[in-house]
Amino acid sequence: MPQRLQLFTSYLSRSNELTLKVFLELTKADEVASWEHTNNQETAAALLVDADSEEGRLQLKDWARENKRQVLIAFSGRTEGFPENVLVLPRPLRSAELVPVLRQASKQFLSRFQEQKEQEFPQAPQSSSLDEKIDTKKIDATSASVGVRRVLEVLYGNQNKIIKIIDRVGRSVIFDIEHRRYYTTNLVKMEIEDLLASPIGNMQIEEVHHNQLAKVVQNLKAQDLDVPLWTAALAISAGHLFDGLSLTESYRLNRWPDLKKLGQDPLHLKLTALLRRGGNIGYFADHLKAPVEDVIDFINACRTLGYLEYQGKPTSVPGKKPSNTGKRSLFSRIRSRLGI
Amino acid sequence: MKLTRDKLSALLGFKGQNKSIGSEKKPIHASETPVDLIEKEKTDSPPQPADAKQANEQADITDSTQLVSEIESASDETEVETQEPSMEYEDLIVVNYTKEQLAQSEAKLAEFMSACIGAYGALISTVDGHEVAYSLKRDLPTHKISTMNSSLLALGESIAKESLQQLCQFVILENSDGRVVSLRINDILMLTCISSKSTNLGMLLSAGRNTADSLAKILR
Amino acid sequence: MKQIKFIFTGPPGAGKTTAIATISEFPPVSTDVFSTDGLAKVKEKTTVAMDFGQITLDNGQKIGLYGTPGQQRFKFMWEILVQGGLGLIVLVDNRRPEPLKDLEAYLDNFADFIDETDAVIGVTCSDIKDTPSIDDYQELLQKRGQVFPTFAIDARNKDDVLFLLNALLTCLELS
Repeated sequence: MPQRLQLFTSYLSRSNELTLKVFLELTKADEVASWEHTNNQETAAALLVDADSEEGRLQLKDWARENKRQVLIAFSGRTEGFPENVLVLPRPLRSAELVPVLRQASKQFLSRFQEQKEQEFPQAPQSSSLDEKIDTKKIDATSASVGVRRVLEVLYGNQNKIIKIIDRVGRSVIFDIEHRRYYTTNLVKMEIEDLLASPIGNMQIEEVHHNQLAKVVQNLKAQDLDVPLWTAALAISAGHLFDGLSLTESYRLNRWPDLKKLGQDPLHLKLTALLRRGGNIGYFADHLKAPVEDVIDFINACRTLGYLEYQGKPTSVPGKKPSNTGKRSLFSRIRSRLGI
Repeated sequence: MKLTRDKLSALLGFKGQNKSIGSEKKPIHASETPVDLIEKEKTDSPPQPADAKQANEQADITDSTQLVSEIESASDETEVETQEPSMEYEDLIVVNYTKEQLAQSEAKLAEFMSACIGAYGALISTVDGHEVAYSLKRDLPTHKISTMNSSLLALGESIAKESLQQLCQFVILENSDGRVVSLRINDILMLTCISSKSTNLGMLLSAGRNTADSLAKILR
Repeated sequence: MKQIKFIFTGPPGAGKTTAIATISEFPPVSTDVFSTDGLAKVKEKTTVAMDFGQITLDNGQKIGLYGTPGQQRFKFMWEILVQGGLGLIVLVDNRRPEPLKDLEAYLDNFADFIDETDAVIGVTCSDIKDTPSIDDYQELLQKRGQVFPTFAIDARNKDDVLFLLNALLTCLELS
């Protein structure tokens, strides 16, 4: 079974770090180990440092002298002049070169781990179990099909059905996802949002046949489901992509979210404008200088409401017209004048 | 004099008219009885709703409205190419002028054309761009001229107002080989006079003003 | 220097003049005259040339706010008015018999201009008549392969008009 290993980076530029995080996704399919980024040096299996900076070069030297248990990786334009046993990742950062280096690092780390006794490396087994704990938590939080499953995810997986959910205290809601409506007498909008974000484990689920819907909702008013769905998706997202979405794939919108209704977040407006043209998550985060987690939350919410479509393989940076600083300055003056 | 909505409605014959389906294809100046028809827009690209048609469909049902709906449903809905409508074209405005009024108007236009030797076109149109009657010595796109001059006159009047000046008397287009002069007849009608340079400007303006004044009395 | 402007268009009665008035620094100059056709049953007056409003930026630059005539026969004015335009605001009156067709007509007629710049869509009077819904408009756009900001607005409400303009500016900035 493939191991999940963590990579700590040091003195890497922000853009390289973002790119690296995207490339790490490519190791998911590896037979030996998959890698993910960490800010915790202690739990890392490998330490990657930009050795072309003076600070990075000195740090690499220190680490090598300390005989760290982690595998050391030098990110550099040079190929020689590094301490022994340091792997070299050539500059510029390319997935074709990163993946083999990580494979080599995982083999080295795992073989070291096997060779050494627990006494010599007391942290090693603990860190391994800690990794597993982290992995489990991550799976719980990110995977819709493994671990905690939420009402929202169940509904998303049954889009052409009408689902009745009854909570622990017997309050019921009927969800017609296809038409994005819900029917209830018991719950207010905020409670619906909470319900959608709740684990399904405590709920009773029933399917309502389409031809029975009219009878079942006889005295109930159809209410708009968009806002609760959107809010719940943002709430449970927490920076982790929903099932079926990928950091490296390109997506675009098939319609403009009604942000007047869904919440007038300025970042969402910008993301919508960019997503209209299409791109991947890394591109959006980089272009807007926004946290990747916030972009992921937005993508998840768009996916939940059915606004997202797969654009295909990552393309070059999309663009209608070349950047025009004169116009940008004009737009910002217009904004300032109008107070928007 | 400001035209109130009720007076306008009466003038335009929205109430209590006898309607004849068969008359919609005749030119307005030849109709025996007032015809209540709605302009249908000719446009370049389908589908393009006729504003007048749609406006009519959503109004309260009256005899005139029902008649128009019947006419519209029977007529061709959309056009791919923009055509130059003739006076026989079924897109006619809602007006309530008698045959006699229109005949007198045409006579006045003919008088104008005689008085101004270089004049080769005189058009009566509504202030919102529908042609009513014309007299031409050359083939001109009367529909377009009516529409565009309505814009020009309205702009001229707005500019006059912004310039803190009173009523706009004329809007004059002075071109290298002729002139186009537009002026109001009354609250809803305007006159456009087109001539070559052989008519001097003063003569054109004077004859135009006289004609408009006469038309105002005829087309009350 | 070519004047910079925003263009407001849409069928008669959709609220173009009203929307301009909410943000213009002076009451818009209008060229409204009495309607003499079927439109008169709905609206006493109609725009035959343009509405004109303006905002002045901190550096003295003027931004024109132009409302087009709504009726198709004034198409020649649309072509004049869009020159130098930054973007298009299409207002659609949800009370009209076929507002989706209205929208299509305006998107078709201004296709070249939209292609060069961008557009946003404001649906007015949806509180009076709630169908078609915003979803229906979006579905229409999706069928056309287009994605534009589309919101229900009240043309008399300054915040709503600014919301539309904000969306348009964001699209223009990020294009």
